[in-house]
Amino acid sequence: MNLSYKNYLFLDVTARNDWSSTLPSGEWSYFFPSYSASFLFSELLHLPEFVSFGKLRMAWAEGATDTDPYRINTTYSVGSFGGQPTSSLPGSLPAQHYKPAINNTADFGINLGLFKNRIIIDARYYNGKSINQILSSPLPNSSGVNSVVVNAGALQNSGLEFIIKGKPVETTGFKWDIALNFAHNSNKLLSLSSGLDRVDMNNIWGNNGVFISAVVGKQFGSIMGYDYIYDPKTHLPLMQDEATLTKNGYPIAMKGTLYQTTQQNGEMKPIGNATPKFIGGMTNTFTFKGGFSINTLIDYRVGGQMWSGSYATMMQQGQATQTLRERDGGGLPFTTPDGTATKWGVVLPGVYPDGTVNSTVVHYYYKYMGYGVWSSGPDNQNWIHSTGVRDDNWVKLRELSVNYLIPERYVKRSKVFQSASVSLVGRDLFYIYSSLPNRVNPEGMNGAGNAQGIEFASLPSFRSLSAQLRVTF
Amino acid sequence: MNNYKKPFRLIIAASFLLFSCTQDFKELNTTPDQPTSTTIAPLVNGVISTLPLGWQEQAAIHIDWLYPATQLAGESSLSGYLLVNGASDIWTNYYSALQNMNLIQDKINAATDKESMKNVQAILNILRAYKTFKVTDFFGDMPYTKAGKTYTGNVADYRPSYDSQQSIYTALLTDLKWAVDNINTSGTYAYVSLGTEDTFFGNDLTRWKKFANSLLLRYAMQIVEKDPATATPYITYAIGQNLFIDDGSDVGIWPGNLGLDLASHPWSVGSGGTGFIRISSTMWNLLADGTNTGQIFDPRAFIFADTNAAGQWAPYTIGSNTSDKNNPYNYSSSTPNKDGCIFSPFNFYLIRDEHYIPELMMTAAETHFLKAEAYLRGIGVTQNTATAQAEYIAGITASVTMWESIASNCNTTESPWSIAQPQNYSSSELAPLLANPKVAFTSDNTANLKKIYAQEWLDNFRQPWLAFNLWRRTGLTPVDPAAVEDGSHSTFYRLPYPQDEAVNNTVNYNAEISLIGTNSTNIKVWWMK
Repeated sequence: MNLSYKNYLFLDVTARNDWSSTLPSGEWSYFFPSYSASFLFSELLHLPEFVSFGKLRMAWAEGATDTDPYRINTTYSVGSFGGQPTSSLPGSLPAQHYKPAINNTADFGINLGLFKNRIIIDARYYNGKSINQILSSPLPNSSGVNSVVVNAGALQNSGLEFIIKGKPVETTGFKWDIALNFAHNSNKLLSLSSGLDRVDMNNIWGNNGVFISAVVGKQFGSIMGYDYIYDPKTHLPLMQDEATLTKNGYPIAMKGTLYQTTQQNGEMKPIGNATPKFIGGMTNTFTFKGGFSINTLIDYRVGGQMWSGSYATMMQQGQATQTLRERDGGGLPFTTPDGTATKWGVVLPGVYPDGTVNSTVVHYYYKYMGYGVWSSGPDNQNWIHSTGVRDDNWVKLRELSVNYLIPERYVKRSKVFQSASVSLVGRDLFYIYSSLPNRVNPEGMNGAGNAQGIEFASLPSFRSLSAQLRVTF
Repeated sequence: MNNYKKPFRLIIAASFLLFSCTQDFKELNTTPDQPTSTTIAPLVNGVISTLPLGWQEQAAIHIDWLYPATQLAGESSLSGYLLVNGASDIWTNYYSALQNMNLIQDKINAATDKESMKNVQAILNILRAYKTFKVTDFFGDMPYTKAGKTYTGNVADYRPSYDSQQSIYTALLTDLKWAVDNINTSGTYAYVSLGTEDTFFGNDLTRWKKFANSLLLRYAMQIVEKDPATATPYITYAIGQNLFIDDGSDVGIWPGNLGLDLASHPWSVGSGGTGFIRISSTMWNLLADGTNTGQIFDPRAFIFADTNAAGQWAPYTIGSNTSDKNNPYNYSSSTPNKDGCIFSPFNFYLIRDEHYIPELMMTAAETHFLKAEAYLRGIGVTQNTATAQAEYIAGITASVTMWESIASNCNTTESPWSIAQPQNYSSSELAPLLANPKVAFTSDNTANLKKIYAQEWLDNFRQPWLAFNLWRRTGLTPVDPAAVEDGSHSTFYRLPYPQDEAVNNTVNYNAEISLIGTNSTNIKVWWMK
């Protein structure tokens, strides 16, 4: 239903009811409405001269979805062995009672046109809550299953989007259009059902690598892995002293090389978050006389981290240039077990449980051992993943194109085409700034959508140059 | 009036349509190819289907760790397999089967005629005991009584607590004895039967009974050093029942009978950058008096081992500095390609076969050796060296006969592999073996006991986890004084708990680690000396 009042106040209301056979019998029918209103205040109010257009927008909508067919049925897997049938319980526990997943979003927006629409501003704030989300949470294999599906997840999705467009220069010979946009999005897992604390969205090597998870109470995209255990007083990482080394079965001669990590008590902690603080871009279009124009697009991302498996591997295996420092004799004086004097020594930063700061000089190998990929310590213990987590900020020249609009008098001669233009386009040209070391590709993620944050053995990004001819009939 | 009637009628018609829509919903949403209920028989067959060995279990655990640690074989170079993957393989196989075993127990408990369920209960006890013993021998303490129960939907079961190995052994020994006592083969009552769905023993309840009693003797003996008070009565009982696996009726997964393709066998030995397992000098010393073919006294040498690329018998002394990074197990060819290997490999056909050679679970020979040990040491029975010697000889005979039978029957129509057969099978060939000083009993019972262990260890050649148990229990299995063990192999006492437990069962995992110290491989399990 659409209503309007004097062309400045608008109201839309919709109501919808769905019936779905994929839900259990008590839940076949579900109803959800939505409302949206907008107020063109520039029509009504007497605003200053420079405001040519203004609109305020508010909306509230509810959506609901059902689930996949057959999902609500508890079924047994069947197979055959020795020519006879077998049956077994599923490896993942289905939810107890399925309900439709419901999503409520509230939306506020403001559009402003200034100086006869030479500057246009569009801002939007949204806040949505989804409940009864169907999510899968991991369980230990000793429970019999490896995950349980719950229909009780609650998520919150909120954010801010902002676009400002302007025409700073507008003359007959030269035009300059600029647009800047900016988006900030926050996704939080509010709750799951009792006994469960997280949803895993992506991982590398299962429990041997990092996970990208949504932990209850936190932002989506937490990078979960093993970290150093820090001394509460000095905030330095704790190292293993003689007593700890002996307890763990290591020789005392290894003092100064091994840290205490959260892997000792199995704790995978959030060691970063893949969600960016904000992303956006800037376009500039320069139009010249005679049909030429130049268009540039710059993309940027600020905030958030990624776990870079390539970086960690390069460091651990001595393939990164940073590792040459001690190897080329730039380290501390160190005598090898066979008596050779070298300058290969390092003192690892850390402190012992009794408070003494570490000053033991050890071989530089132990400095880079901590950048574990499969493991960063002997005997598959003492893994650390936090060394591979890096800030992921970048600014990139995404596109640069030079266009020429073929004058109409030439196009019309063809008697077929209405207009034509030729362009030279370069895409993904270069990173103006990247916070990642060793030229790791900041966008080389394994996984898509919510599951970003893990990079391993990614290819460098491709630069492409192309020529285009566009015609209209 | 008419203007209103039309839309009104439309509305009424539309609403009728909507309400009648849902009547087929239940049928629409029925999963077309999977049942929503099941019965005991296919569930039991499902558990039986989890008995074959895992791929990583064999590659990462047997080849890389159990063979070198027991010196049953040696590795001339390190493979790329990870211990943690093998440990996970064993762990997940067990716990996903455990939830099905718990479901079977629920169904048995729900039956109204309890007496009729006794044979099925016994079979469940035997399968559960076999699988659980194997896993606890690897890991030590582990979740058991509270584990595998999440299928009931109870949140309290999501993260199970750990049971001590001692309590697990006590419970399972009780279950096995119950099975021996309660399997009823007389047919006087309408016992529920698995019928043809018993793909393991073909519904032969006598074989189940003998298997249960044999397992009882094996696992009672496993804890006799640590807990003789619990173990000895079971040993007395089992030997007294005198129900053991018949010679020639060895228990295992026989792929020929089941139509299986056990591709994991060649893969685990020779795939992807591996192929370094070799015949150890330790084992060769028990098969031959030297490296000339004429010095071989045990016919199993020709079944277990093969000559090197130069056609010589060349056992590998563990710790040898000579490099042998060749892969003589490349199975893409139909004949062995020794690939220039320096040391004697396993017999190519023994590990290449996927369709006939069994995965043994318990041999008749092992039951003879267990009895021989009991009589020699006077455990649970009166000490009697003569009986011990008779059982010892019966064990060697049963083992050699079994392996020769496997070798000569290997050439099936499907599989082109056949073991290079020793020339003659006759009982006279056992005479040199039994007379050899390394094998024959003397008046020194200490040495005789070591000989029993040595022959049991040798019979376990393709069941290295049993040799591993024997080595850990007694510390008296064969060693070569010239062998130099890698430190991590000589103190390899258990498998580490998978990472999954630390991450997803953190509280219970940490409670267990505070008991044992650390999750490493050099911690002894409860029954180990």
